[in-house]
Amino acid sequence: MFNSVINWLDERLHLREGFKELLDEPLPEGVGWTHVFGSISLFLFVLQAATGIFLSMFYAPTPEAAHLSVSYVQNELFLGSFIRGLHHWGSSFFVVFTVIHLLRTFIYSAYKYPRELTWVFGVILFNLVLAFGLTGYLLPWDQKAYWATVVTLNIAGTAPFLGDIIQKILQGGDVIGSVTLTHFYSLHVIVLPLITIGAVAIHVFLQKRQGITPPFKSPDEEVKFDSRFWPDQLFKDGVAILLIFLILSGFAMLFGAPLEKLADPTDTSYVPKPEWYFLSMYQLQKLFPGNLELIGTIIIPTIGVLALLLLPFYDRNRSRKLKDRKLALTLMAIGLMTVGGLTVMGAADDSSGKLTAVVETAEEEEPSRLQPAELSGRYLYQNESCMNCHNIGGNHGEGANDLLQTSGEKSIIWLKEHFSNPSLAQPERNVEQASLKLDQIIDLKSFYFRLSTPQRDKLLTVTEDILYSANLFSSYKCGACHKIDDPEPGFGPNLAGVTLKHDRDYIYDHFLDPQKYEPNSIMPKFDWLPKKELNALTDFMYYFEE
Amino acid sequence: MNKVKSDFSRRGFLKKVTAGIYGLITFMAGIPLVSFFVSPAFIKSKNMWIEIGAVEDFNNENPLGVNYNKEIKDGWNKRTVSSTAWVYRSKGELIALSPICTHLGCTVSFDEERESFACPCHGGLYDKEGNVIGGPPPKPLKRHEIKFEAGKLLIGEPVDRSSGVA
Repeated sequence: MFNSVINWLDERLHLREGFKELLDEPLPEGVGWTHVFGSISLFLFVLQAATGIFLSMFYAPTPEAAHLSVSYVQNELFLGSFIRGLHHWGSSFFVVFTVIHLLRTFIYSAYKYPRELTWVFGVILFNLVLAFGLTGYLLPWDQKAYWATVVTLNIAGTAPFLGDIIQKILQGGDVIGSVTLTHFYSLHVIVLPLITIGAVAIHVFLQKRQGITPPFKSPDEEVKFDSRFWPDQLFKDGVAILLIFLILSGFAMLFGAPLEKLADPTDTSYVPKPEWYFLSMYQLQKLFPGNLELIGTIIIPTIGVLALLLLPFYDRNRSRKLKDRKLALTLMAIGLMTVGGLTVMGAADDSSGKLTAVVETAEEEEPSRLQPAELSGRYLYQNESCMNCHNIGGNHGEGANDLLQTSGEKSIIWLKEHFSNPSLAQPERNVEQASLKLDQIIDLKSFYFRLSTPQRDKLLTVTEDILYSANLFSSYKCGACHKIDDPEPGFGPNLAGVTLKHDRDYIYDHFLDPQKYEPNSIMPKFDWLPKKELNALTDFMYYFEE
Repeated sequence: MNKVKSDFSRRGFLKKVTAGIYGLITFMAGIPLVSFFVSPAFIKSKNMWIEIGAVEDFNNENPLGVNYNKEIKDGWNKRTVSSTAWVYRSKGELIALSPICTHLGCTVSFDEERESFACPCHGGLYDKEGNVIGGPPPKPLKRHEIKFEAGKLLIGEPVDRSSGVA
């Protein structure tokens, strides 16, 4: 049945002949396992296309919905995090294997006459891979995505003459936002794929037309052809692809794809860092400060790309033997070490030192007494569902996440996001949403930051009664009028030392009817509070005595 | 002669193994991708109970349209949609009919004069118990699951009526 369909088609289209031409290519001796990288790159392109198509079915390219839809894929769809992981790590693998393919081509002199055009399209394809990485990076619309794109677009803006207008065209106006996202989305899923498919077709056509370069043979040497593309080389390609796919799947399963919190254009504390394959350029640009910046952002990268693109035209050495190409190979090694070195420097260079300094100065300004908000935060920590996922240095909770390990590092915005929707800030986990009020979020934040200070032990040993009282103090917003250690005057009297002035009965009764004691007082009556709470609040005043 | 023959079978084997490897890769990538793609079809929405009023308010024998709001999950969005349930008492038992026509999903409403539900799309007609009395609908109107809590009437998902009722 299958054969008769093939025969029917073949009679009309002579397909067998075409396939024979395509597959039955004789290969020169020495071609083998070192020639699998082009096929691996092609496989990765197909895999990126397949995973990309399915991901796009669940993606909405607007600043409002992008992060939500990615988080939906990540947390709610079957295998969602795995497919995202494949696509995310696939891009890194893609870069790695196109680079290896390029280096292999260089070492084997395969770019030389008559295959200059194959090389040129190869370099174009390599740049397209990077462009995919750049445009795809923005799509999750998380902090990393947003800030990396801000930097990229501003780099485009530094280009001479047309920089400003190019930047505005790319971002679709004056600001990075809705139009930038739809631009990048369209580039990533329509424009770049179309161009890439065309370039791949030409690249492969040229290779098939001209055959594989006989490894390390001078053009005038006799070449023995001892294997065929099908099945010999395709077998090796297949084994290599299978291996790479297994490794990539392992990455996708173990590490998934990162999703930081929703992009926050107002966050001033975020330190953007690009994906690893752009780190060398990121570092390069830091080496040229001030007026020289252009050298790092535009001039050197442009020279680099041109040097690669035009390589077959200025390297006139026809020999393919390594011993005749000492200069070329030395330059390649220098180039590799430079890019590698810059990448390592870029990876090692982070600004965590600066951040620690900020935290330390903040500590000094903290009043030494534990504040009601911090105490109330601990009360909430124990009574909301925090302890299901967290612990503090191994105690105070059943969860796996030790608060001390991150203490002080999370930004205020991150915390706010995390408290209002735990799974949004930590998309890898699906946590049931807590319904916290803004005041409670502020208390939890204060508690969290206090944990990173020397008063931690004191905070963790305070009695339950005080915690309970502090939570009442906070939830009835006493602190809105009454300060304790803050030298700024509040609406109401400062409560520090209030128990030295008045006895317990006075304080208790004062809650019931403040005007009875202070006719001009604007404090509302709290006679509607249950006795238990009134007692707790009264006792709490004694806490300020110390 | 023998050498050529064994060479041929060796190549034949290599071809089969190679085809097998590519087939394996296609399956290994294809199965997760396709199951990812179809997975939303198998996400079950949570059965939510919605309070629509006090039990004692429903003593009417003719269906009364009760509007209620329902939170639904729409992909990555949560939306509130308003809907109507037709509630009435039949032989002392409370019944809440879903207004979704069983033909093609238009919304029916109760016509008091004719004591029947009419569908505006293709002329489907149901009696006040929701049984089909005319037009194309294949099945009677669905009934909501019902429960009572503290004197309140709560409705759940609409379910097909068992065939015995009609």
